[in-house]
Amino acid sequence: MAETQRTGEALAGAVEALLSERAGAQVKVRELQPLFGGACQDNYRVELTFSGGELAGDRRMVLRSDANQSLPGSVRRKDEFEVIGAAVAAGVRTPRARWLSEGLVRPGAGAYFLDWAEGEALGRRVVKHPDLAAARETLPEALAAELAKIHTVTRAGTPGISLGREYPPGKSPSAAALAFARLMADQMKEPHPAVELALRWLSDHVPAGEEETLVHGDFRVGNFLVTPSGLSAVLDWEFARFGDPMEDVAWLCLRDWRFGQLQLPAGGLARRERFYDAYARASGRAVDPRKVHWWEVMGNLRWGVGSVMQGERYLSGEESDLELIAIARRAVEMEYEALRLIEKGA
Amino acid sequence: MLERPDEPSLLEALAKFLIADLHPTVKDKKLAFRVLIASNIATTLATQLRGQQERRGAEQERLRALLGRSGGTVQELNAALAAKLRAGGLSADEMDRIADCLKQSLQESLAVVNPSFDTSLEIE
Repeated sequence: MAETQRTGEALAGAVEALLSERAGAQVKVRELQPLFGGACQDNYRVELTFSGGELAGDRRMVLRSDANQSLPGSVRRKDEFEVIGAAVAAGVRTPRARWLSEGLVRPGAGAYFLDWAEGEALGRRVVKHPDLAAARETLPEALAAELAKIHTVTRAGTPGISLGREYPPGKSPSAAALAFARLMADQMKEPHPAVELALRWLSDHVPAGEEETLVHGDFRVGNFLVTPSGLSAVLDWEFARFGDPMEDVAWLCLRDWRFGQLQLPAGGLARRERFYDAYARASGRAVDPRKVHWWEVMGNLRWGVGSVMQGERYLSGEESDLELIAIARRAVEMEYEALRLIEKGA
Repeated sequence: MLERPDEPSLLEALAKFLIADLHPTVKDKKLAFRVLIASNIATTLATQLRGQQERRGAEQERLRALLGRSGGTVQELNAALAAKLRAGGLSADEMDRIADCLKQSLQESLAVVNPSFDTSLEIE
Protein backbone atom coordinates (compact mmCIF):
# COMPACT_ATOMS: atom_id res chain seq x y z
CA MET A 1 0.00 0.00 0.00
CA ALA A 2 2.91 2.34 0.73
CA GLU A 3 3.59 2.89 -2.96
CA THR A 4 0.15 4.46 -3.42
CA GLN A 5 0.82 6.98 -0.67
CA ARG A 6 1.73 10.52 -1.80
CA THR A 7 4.91 11.84 -0.21
CA GLY A 8 7.29 14.77 -0.47
CA GLU A 9 6.76 17.12 -3.39
CA ALA A 10 3.78 15.23 -4.76
CA LEU A 11 1.96 15.60 -1.43
CA ALA A 12 2.97 19.26 -1.09
CA GLY A 13 1.61 19.91 -4.60
CA ALA A 14 -1.67 18.15 -3.80
CA VAL A 15 -2.01 20.17 -0.57
CA GLU A 16 -1.45 23.44 -2.46
CA ALA A 17 -4.05 22.53 -5.09
CA LEU A 18 -6.64 21.47 -2.50
CA LEU A 19 -6.20 24.44 -0.17
CA SER A 20 -6.06 27.01 -2.95
CA GLU A 21 -9.49 25.73 -3.93
CA ARG A 22 -10.93 25.44 -0.41
CA ALA A 23 -9.40 28.35 1.53
CA GLY A 24 -10.29 31.19 -0.83
CA ALA A 25 -6.67 32.24 -1.29
CA GLN A 26 -3.49 31.09 -3.04
CA VAL A 27 -1.69 28.67 -0.74
CA LYS A 28 2.02 27.75 -0.80
CA VAL A 29 3.55 24.87 1.16
CA ARG A 30 6.86 26.03 2.61
CA GLU A 31 7.60 22.80 4.45
CA LEU A 32 5.96 19.42 5.03
CA GLN A 33 7.38 17.04 7.65
CA PRO A 34 6.04 13.67 8.84
CA LEU A 35 5.27 13.65 12.58
CA PHE A 36 5.20 10.62 14.87
CA GLY A 37 1.84 9.19 13.99
CA GLY A 38 -0.52 6.96 15.81
CA ALA A 39 -1.35 3.47 14.62
CA CYS A 40 -4.43 4.65 12.76
CA GLN A 41 -3.33 7.89 11.17
CA ASP A 42 -0.48 9.62 9.39
CA ASN A 43 0.36 13.07 10.73
CA TYR A 44 2.40 15.83 9.11
CA ARG A 45 3.51 19.26 10.22
CA VAL A 46 2.79 21.67 7.38
CA GLU A 47 4.12 25.23 7.07
CA LEU A 48 1.71 27.17 4.85
CA THR A 49 1.54 30.66 3.40
CA PHE A 50 -1.90 32.06 2.55
CA SER A 51 -1.98 34.94 0.03
CA GLY A 52 -5.14 36.43 1.57
CA GLY A 53 -8.41 35.70 3.32
CA GLU A 54 -8.93 35.23 7.07
CA LEU A 55 -5.76 33.16 7.37
CA ALA A 56 -3.51 35.54 5.37
CA GLY A 57 0.16 35.08 6.17
CA ASP A 58 2.26 32.19 7.48
CA ARG A 59 0.42 29.40 9.29
CA ARG A 60 1.59 26.17 10.88
CA MET A 61 -0.90 23.30 10.77
CA VAL A 62 -1.12 19.54 11.21
CA LEU A 63 -2.34 17.38 8.36
CA ARG A 64 -4.01 14.22 9.65
CA SER A 65 -4.88 11.35 7.30
CA ASP A 66 -6.25 7.82 7.72
CA ALA A 67 -3.49 5.21 7.71
CA ASN A 68 -3.83 1.77 6.15
CA GLN A 69 -5.62 0.32 9.13
CA SER A 70 -7.57 1.23 12.20
CA LEU A 71 -7.66 -0.10 15.75
CA PRO A 72 -10.85 -1.65 17.12
CA GLY A 73 -13.05 1.13 18.48
CA SER A 74 -11.15 3.91 16.73
CA VAL A 75 -12.91 6.21 14.30
CA ARG A 76 -11.87 7.33 10.84
CA ARG A 77 -10.90 10.90 10.08
CA LYS A 78 -14.35 11.87 8.74
CA ASP A 79 -16.01 10.96 12.06
CA GLU A 80 -13.19 12.61 13.97
CA PHE A 81 -13.65 15.81 11.95
CA GLU A 82 -17.34 15.92 12.89
CA VAL A 83 -16.60 15.29 16.57
CA ILE A 84 -13.97 18.04 16.66
CA GLY A 85 -16.52 20.39 15.08
CA ALA A 86 -19.02 19.56 17.84
CA ALA A 87 -16.35 19.93 20.55
CA VAL A 88 -15.20 23.32 19.22
CA ALA A 89 -18.84 24.45 19.09
CA ALA A 90 -19.20 23.38 22.74
CA GLY A 91 -16.22 25.59 23.62
CA VAL A 92 -13.71 22.79 24.23
CA ARG A 93 -10.08 23.93 24.06
CA THR A 94 -9.04 21.83 21.11
CA PRO A 95 -7.50 22.86 17.79
CA ARG A 96 -10.04 23.63 15.09
CA ALA A 97 -10.27 21.12 12.21
CA ARG A 98 -10.54 22.39 8.62
CA TRP A 99 -10.99 21.20 5.06
CA LEU A 100 -12.05 17.57 5.25
CA SER A 101 -11.10 15.79 2.03
CA GLU A 102 -10.63 12.32 0.62
CA GLY A 103 -7.67 10.83 -1.21
CA LEU A 104 -5.18 13.58 -0.37
CA VAL A 105 -2.47 11.34 1.12
CA ARG A 106 -3.62 7.94 -0.12
CA PRO A 107 -6.57 6.69 -2.18
CA GLY A 108 -9.80 6.56 -0.18
CA ALA A 109 -8.19 7.97 2.98
CA GLY A 110 -9.96 10.83 4.73
CA ALA A 111 -7.81 13.78 5.80
CA TYR A 112 -8.15 17.23 7.36
CA PHE A 113 -6.00 20.05 8.78
CA LEU A 114 -5.70 21.08 12.41
CA ASP A 115 -4.55 24.47 13.68
CA TRP A 116 -1.20 24.08 15.42
CA ALA A 117 -1.12 24.22 19.23
CA GLU A 118 2.02 24.53 21.35
CA GLY A 119 2.85 22.47 24.40
CA GLU A 120 4.27 19.31 25.92
CA ALA A 121 2.24 16.09 25.57
CA LEU A 122 4.61 13.40 26.92
CA GLY A 123 3.07 11.96 30.08
CA ARG A 124 6.22 11.65 32.15
CA ARG A 125 7.14 15.27 31.50
CA VAL A 126 3.64 16.57 32.13
CA VAL A 127 3.50 14.95 35.60
CA LYS A 128 7.14 15.59 36.54
CA HIS A 129 9.03 18.26 34.61
CA PRO A 130 10.04 21.23 36.82
CA ASP A 131 9.18 23.74 34.06
CA LEU A 132 5.55 22.62 34.25
CA ALA A 133 5.21 22.77 38.06
CA ALA A 134 3.08 25.94 38.01
CA ALA A 135 0.95 24.54 35.19
CA ARG A 136 0.31 21.35 37.18
CA GLU A 137 -1.27 23.47 39.94
CA THR A 138 -3.99 24.57 37.54
CA LEU A 139 -4.40 21.40 35.47
CA PRO A 140 -6.95 19.46 37.58
CA GLU A 141 -9.48 22.33 37.43
CA ALA A 142 -8.68 23.14 33.80
CA LEU A 143 -9.15 19.51 32.75
CA ALA A 144 -12.37 19.20 34.76
CA ALA A 145 -13.72 22.28 32.96
CA GLU A 146 -12.85 20.89 29.51
CA LEU A 147 -14.33 17.50 30.34
CA ALA A 148 -17.56 19.15 31.55
CA LYS A 149 -17.81 20.97 28.19
CA ILE A 150 -17.26 17.74 26.24
CA HIS A 151 -20.06 16.14 28.24
CA THR A 152 -22.54 18.86 27.25
CA VAL A 153 -22.57 17.37 23.72
CA THR A 154 -25.46 14.94 23.30
CA ARG A 155 -26.55 12.69 20.47
CA ALA A 156 -29.89 14.48 20.24
CA GLY A 157 -28.18 17.87 20.11
CA THR A 158 -25.77 16.95 17.30
CA PRO A 159 -27.71 15.18 14.54
CA GLY A 160 -24.77 15.81 12.18
CA ILE A 161 -22.53 13.34 14.00
CA SER A 162 -22.52 9.87 12.48
CA LEU A 163 -20.53 8.30 15.37
CA GLY A 164 -21.97 5.30 17.10
CA ARG A 165 -20.39 2.13 15.87
CA GLU A 166 -19.51 1.04 19.35
CA TYR A 167 -22.44 2.50 21.20
CA PRO A 168 -25.44 2.00 18.94
CA PRO A 169 -28.57 3.81 20.19
CA GLY A 170 -30.78 1.64 22.34
CA LYS A 171 -27.94 -0.10 24.13
CA SER A 172 -26.83 1.29 27.48
CA PRO A 173 -23.20 2.47 27.60
CA SER A 174 -22.25 -0.36 29.97
CA ALA A 175 -23.99 -3.04 27.88
CA ALA A 176 -22.30 -1.76 24.74
CA ALA A 177 -18.91 -1.58 26.46
CA LEU A 178 -19.34 -5.15 27.75
CA ALA A 179 -20.24 -6.41 24.29
CA PHE A 180 -17.23 -4.64 22.80
CA ALA A 181 -14.87 -5.97 25.50
CA ARG A 182 -16.20 -9.49 24.92
CA LEU A 183 -15.55 -9.12 21.19
CA MET A 184 -11.99 -7.98 21.81
CA ALA A 185 -11.29 -10.66 24.43
CA ASP A 186 -12.44 -13.33 21.98
CA GLN A 187 -9.72 -12.25 19.56
CA MET A 188 -6.93 -13.15 22.00
CA LYS A 189 -5.04 -16.28 21.00
CA GLU A 190 -4.36 -17.51 24.53
CA PRO A 191 -6.67 -18.09 27.51
CA HIS A 192 -6.67 -15.12 29.94
CA PRO A 193 -8.67 -16.21 33.01
CA ALA A 194 -8.02 -12.84 34.70
CA VAL A 195 -9.75 -11.13 31.77
CA GLU A 196 -12.66 -13.56 32.09
CA LEU A 197 -12.89 -12.90 35.81
CA ALA A 198 -13.00 -9.14 35.26
CA LEU A 199 -15.64 -9.53 32.53
CA ARG A 200 -17.70 -11.75 34.82
CA TRP A 201 -17.48 -9.23 37.67
CA LEU A 202 -18.38 -6.36 35.33
CA SER A 203 -21.43 -8.22 34.00
CA ASP A 204 -22.59 -8.92 37.55
CA HIS A 205 -22.12 -5.34 38.79
CA VAL A 206 -23.52 -3.09 36.06
CA PRO A 207 -24.07 0.41 37.49
CA ALA A 208 -27.61 1.75 37.73
CA GLY A 209 -28.73 5.07 36.29
CA GLU A 210 -26.48 5.55 33.30
CA GLU A 211 -26.29 8.71 31.23
CA GLU A 212 -25.29 9.19 27.64
CA THR A 213 -23.19 12.08 26.35
CA LEU A 214 -20.27 12.48 23.99
CA VAL A 215 -17.20 10.94 25.62
CA HIS A 216 -13.67 11.73 24.47
CA GLY A 217 -12.68 8.08 24.90
CA ASP A 218 -8.98 8.72 25.50
CA PHE A 219 -9.08 11.61 27.99
CA ARG A 220 -5.75 11.16 29.74
CA VAL A 221 -2.35 12.69 30.34
CA GLY A 222 -0.45 12.10 27.10
CA ASN A 223 -3.29 13.56 25.05
CA PHE A 224 -3.15 17.03 26.61
CA LEU A 225 -0.82 19.79 25.45
CA VAL A 226 0.61 21.66 28.42
CA THR A 227 2.73 24.83 28.48
CA PRO A 228 4.31 26.48 31.54
CA SER A 229 1.21 28.66 31.77
CA GLY A 230 -1.25 25.75 31.80
CA LEU A 231 -3.45 23.59 29.61
CA SER A 232 -3.06 24.49 25.95
CA ALA A 233 -5.25 21.89 24.24
CA VAL A 234 -7.07 18.56 24.47
CA LEU A 235 -6.08 16.31 21.54
CA ASP A 236 -6.76 12.94 19.91
CA TRP A 237 -10.45 12.34 19.34
CA GLU A 238 -10.05 9.01 17.57
CA PHE A 239 -11.79 7.01 20.31
CA ALA A 240 -14.67 9.47 20.76
CA ARG A 241 -18.14 7.95 21.04
CA PHE A 242 -21.39 8.33 22.92
CA GLY A 243 -21.11 6.81 26.38
CA ASP A 244 -21.40 7.46 30.09
CA PRO A 245 -19.52 10.60 31.21
CA MET A 246 -18.06 8.67 34.17
CA GLU A 247 -16.12 6.59 31.67
CA ASP A 248 -13.88 9.59 30.86
CA VAL A 249 -13.42 10.37 34.56
CA ALA A 250 -12.33 6.77 35.20
CA TRP A 251 -9.99 6.65 32.19
CA LEU A 252 -8.16 9.78 33.37
CA CYS A 253 -7.54 7.98 36.70
CA LEU A 254 -6.33 4.71 35.18
CA ARG A 255 -3.17 3.55 36.89
CA ASP A 256 -1.11 3.44 33.71
CA TRP A 257 -1.96 7.07 32.91
CA ARG A 258 -0.57 8.33 36.22
CA PHE A 259 2.94 7.96 34.83
CA GLY A 260 4.41 6.80 38.11
CA GLN A 261 2.58 9.32 40.34
CA LEU A 262 0.44 6.59 41.90
CA GLN A 263 -0.53 8.71 44.91
CA LEU A 264 -2.26 11.21 42.58
CA PRO A 265 -4.99 9.15 40.91
CA ALA A 266 -6.40 11.90 38.70
CA GLY A 267 -3.87 11.73 35.90
CA GLY A 268 -0.85 11.73 38.23
CA LEU A 269 -1.86 15.34 38.98
CA ALA A 270 -4.37 15.40 41.85
CA ARG A 271 -6.18 13.37 44.46
CA ARG A 272 -9.53 12.03 43.35
CA GLU A 273 -11.60 14.33 45.59
CA ARG A 274 -10.07 17.47 44.13
CA PHE A 275 -10.77 16.41 40.55
CA TYR A 276 -14.23 15.01 41.31
CA ASP A 277 -15.21 18.26 43.07
CA ALA A 278 -13.87 20.40 40.24
CA TYR A 279 -15.77 18.31 37.69
CA ALA A 280 -18.97 18.46 39.73
CA ARG A 281 -18.70 22.27 40.00
CA ALA A 282 -18.04 22.66 36.27
CA SER A 283 -20.65 20.18 35.05
CA GLY A 284 -23.35 20.30 37.68
CA ARG A 285 -23.11 16.51 37.70
CA ALA A 286 -21.99 14.73 40.86
CA VAL A 287 -19.30 12.09 40.42
CA ASP A 288 -20.49 8.66 41.56
CA PRO A 289 -17.41 6.81 42.87
CA ARG A 290 -19.10 3.42 42.28
CA LYS A 291 -19.62 4.22 38.62
CA VAL A 292 -16.05 5.46 38.28
CA HIS A 293 -14.86 2.25 39.94
CA TRP A 294 -16.83 0.11 37.47
CA TRP A 295 -15.48 2.06 34.49
CA GLU A 296 -11.95 1.91 35.90
CA VAL A 297 -12.12 -1.89 36.06
CA MET A 298 -13.48 -1.80 32.50
CA GLY A 299 -10.71 0.59 31.44
CA ASN A 300 -7.98 -1.68 32.76
CA LEU A 301 -9.61 -4.66 31.10
CA ARG A 302 -9.76 -2.80 27.79
CA TRP A 303 -6.20 -1.51 27.97
CA GLY A 304 -4.97 -4.96 29.05
CA VAL A 305 -6.67 -6.70 26.13
CA GLY A 306 -5.66 -3.81 23.88
CA SER A 307 -2.00 -4.26 24.75
CA VAL A 308 -2.22 -7.99 23.96
CA MET A 309 -3.68 -7.03 20.59
CA GLN A 310 -0.83 -4.58 19.95
CA GLY A 311 1.53 -7.53 20.25
CA GLU A 312 -0.61 -9.55 17.85
CA ARG A 313 -0.21 -6.83 15.25
CA TYR A 314 3.52 -7.46 15.40
CA LEU A 315 3.22 -11.25 15.54
CA SER A 316 0.92 -11.32 12.52
CA GLY A 317 3.62 -9.61 10.46
CA GLU A 318 1.38 -6.63 9.78
CA GLU A 319 3.67 -4.29 11.76
CA SER A 320 7.35 -4.37 12.66
CA ASP A 321 7.65 -1.84 15.50
CA LEU A 322 9.44 -3.30 18.53
CA GLU A 323 7.30 -1.13 20.83
CA LEU A 324 4.18 -3.12 19.93
CA ILE A 325 5.53 -6.48 21.00
CA ALA A 326 6.99 -4.93 24.17
CA ILE A 327 3.58 -3.44 25.10
CA ALA A 328 2.03 -6.92 24.97
CA ARG A 329 4.34 -7.97 27.83
CA ARG A 330 2.74 -5.28 29.98
CA ALA A 331 -0.79 -6.73 29.77
CA VAL A 332 -0.28 -8.46 33.15
CA GLU A 333 -0.05 -5.01 34.81
CA MET A 334 -3.54 -4.05 33.64
CA GLU A 335 -4.94 -7.52 34.42
CA TYR A 336 -3.57 -7.31 37.95
CA GLU A 337 -4.87 -3.78 38.41
CA ALA A 338 -8.38 -4.87 37.35
CA LEU A 339 -8.34 -7.68 39.96
CA ARG A 340 -6.83 -5.35 42.58
CA LEU A 341 -9.62 -2.80 42.02
CA ILE A 342 -12.28 -5.52 42.24
CA GLU A 343 -10.84 -6.70 45.56
CA LYS A 344 -10.48 -3.16 46.87
CA GLY A 345 -14.05 -2.17 45.99
CA ALA A 346 -15.45 1.28 45.21
CA MET B 1 28.52 -27.50 24.36
CA LEU B 2 26.55 -24.28 24.71
CA GLU B 3 26.04 -24.39 28.50
CA ARG B 4 28.50 -21.70 29.43
CA PRO B 5 27.77 -18.82 29.11
CA ASP B 6 24.15 -19.76 29.81
CA GLU B 7 21.16 -18.06 28.20
CA PRO B 8 20.35 -15.59 31.01
CA SER B 9 23.98 -14.44 31.12
CA LEU B 10 23.97 -13.87 27.35
CA LEU B 11 20.74 -11.92 27.55
CA GLU B 12 22.16 -9.78 30.34
CA ALA B 13 25.28 -9.12 28.27
CA LEU B 14 23.04 -8.12 25.36
CA ALA B 15 21.00 -5.81 27.61
CA LYS B 16 24.17 -4.23 28.98
CA PHE B 17 25.61 -3.66 25.52
CA LEU B 18 22.38 -2.03 24.32
CA ILE B 19 22.03 0.31 27.27
CA ALA B 20 25.67 1.14 28.10
CA ASP B 21 27.42 1.04 24.72
CA LEU B 22 24.82 1.59 22.02
CA HIS B 23 22.20 3.85 23.61
CA PRO B 24 24.47 6.87 24.29
CA THR B 25 25.53 6.98 20.63
CA VAL B 26 22.02 6.98 19.12
CA LYS B 27 20.96 10.53 18.25
CA ASP B 28 17.54 9.74 16.76
CA LYS B 29 15.04 9.97 19.66
CA LYS B 30 12.60 7.42 18.32
CA LEU B 31 15.39 4.92 17.66
CA ALA B 32 17.02 5.59 21.06
CA PHE B 33 13.70 4.77 22.73
CA ARG B 34 13.57 1.46 20.85
CA VAL B 35 17.10 0.66 22.05
CA LEU B 36 15.85 1.15 25.63
CA ILE B 37 12.91 -1.14 24.91
CA ALA B 38 15.22 -3.79 23.43
CA SER B 39 17.48 -3.63 26.46
CA ASN B 40 14.50 -3.96 28.78
CA ILE B 41 13.17 -6.99 26.89
CA ALA B 42 16.56 -8.71 27.20
CA THR B 43 16.77 -7.96 30.93
CA THR B 44 13.28 -9.27 31.67
CA LEU B 45 13.90 -12.37 29.55
CA ALA B 46 16.98 -13.19 31.62
CA THR B 47 14.88 -12.99 34.80
CA GLN B 48 12.11 -14.99 33.17
CA LEU B 49 14.44 -17.81 32.11
CA ARG B 50 16.11 -18.04 35.54
CA GLY B 51 12.85 -18.80 37.36
CA GLN B 52 10.86 -20.33 34.53
CA GLN B 53 10.61 -23.95 35.64
CA GLU B 54 9.76 -23.19 39.26
CA ARG B 55 7.22 -20.54 38.29
CA ARG B 56 5.49 -22.75 35.76
CA GLY B 57 5.45 -25.69 38.17
CA ALA B 58 3.92 -23.59 40.94
CA GLU B 59 1.25 -22.14 38.63
CA GLN B 60 0.39 -25.63 37.39
CA GLU B 61 0.06 -26.94 40.97
CA ARG B 62 -2.17 -24.04 42.01
CA LEU B 63 -4.42 -24.44 38.97
CA ARG B 64 -4.71 -28.21 39.45
CA ALA B 65 -5.67 -27.75 43.11
CA LEU B 66 -8.17 -25.02 42.24
CA LEU B 67 -9.83 -27.05 39.49
CA GLY B 68 -9.52 -30.38 41.31
CA ARG B 69 -7.56 -32.01 38.50
CA SER B 70 -4.60 -34.34 38.57
CA GLY B 71 -3.20 -33.43 35.13
CA GLY B 72 -3.12 -30.81 32.41
CA THR B 73 -0.62 -28.24 31.15
CA VAL B 74 -0.71 -24.64 32.36
CA GLN B 75 -2.26 -23.64 29.04
CA GLU B 76 -5.00 -26.29 29.26
CA LEU B 77 -5.75 -25.48 32.88
CA ASN B 78 -5.97 -21.75 32.19
CA ALA B 79 -8.34 -22.47 29.28
CA ALA B 80 -10.53 -24.60 31.58
CA LEU B 81 -10.56 -21.86 34.23
CA ALA B 82 -11.41 -19.19 31.64
CA ALA B 83 -14.33 -21.34 30.39
CA LYS B 84 -15.57 -21.84 33.94
CA LEU B 85 -15.55 -18.10 34.61
CA ARG B 86 -17.29 -17.42 31.33
CA ALA B 87 -20.05 -19.93 32.12
CA GLY B 88 -20.76 -18.07 35.38
CA GLY B 89 -22.92 -19.28 38.27
CA LEU B 90 -19.96 -19.34 40.69
CA SER B 91 -20.42 -18.59 44.37
CA ALA B 92 -18.74 -15.56 45.96
CA ASP B 93 -16.43 -17.99 47.76
CA GLU B 94 -15.37 -19.66 44.55
CA MET B 95 -14.80 -16.30 42.88
CA ASP B 96 -12.55 -15.26 45.77
CA ARG B 97 -10.53 -18.47 45.58
CA ILE B 98 -10.10 -18.06 41.82
CA ALA B 99 -9.12 -14.39 42.20
CA ASP B 100 -6.48 -15.29 44.81
CA CYS B 101 -5.03 -17.96 42.54
CA LEU B 102 -4.90 -15.60 39.56
CA LYS B 103 -3.40 -12.76 41.57
CA GLN B 104 -0.64 -15.08 42.76
CA SER B 105 0.28 -16.02 39.17
CA LEU B 106 0.02 -12.41 37.98
CA GLN B 107 2.27 -11.26 40.83
CA GLU B 108 4.89 -13.79 39.78
CA SER B 109 4.68 -12.50 36.19
CA LEU B 110 4.91 -8.91 37.42
CA ALA B 111 8.08 -9.77 39.33
CA VAL B 112 9.54 -10.61 35.90
CA VAL B 113 8.25 -7.83 33.65
CA ASN B 114 8.00 -4.98 36.17
CA PRO B 115 9.56 -5.76 39.58
CA SER B 116 8.71 -2.26 40.90
CA PHE B 117 4.95 -2.72 40.30
CA ASP B 118 3.21 -1.93 43.60
CA THR B 119 0.47 -4.47 44.35
CA SER B 120 -0.71 -2.80 47.59
CA LEU B 121 -4.43 -2.39 48.19
CA GLU B 122 -3.68 1.04 49.68
CA ILE B 123 -3.25 2.62 46.24
CA GLU B 124 -6.38 4.64 45.52
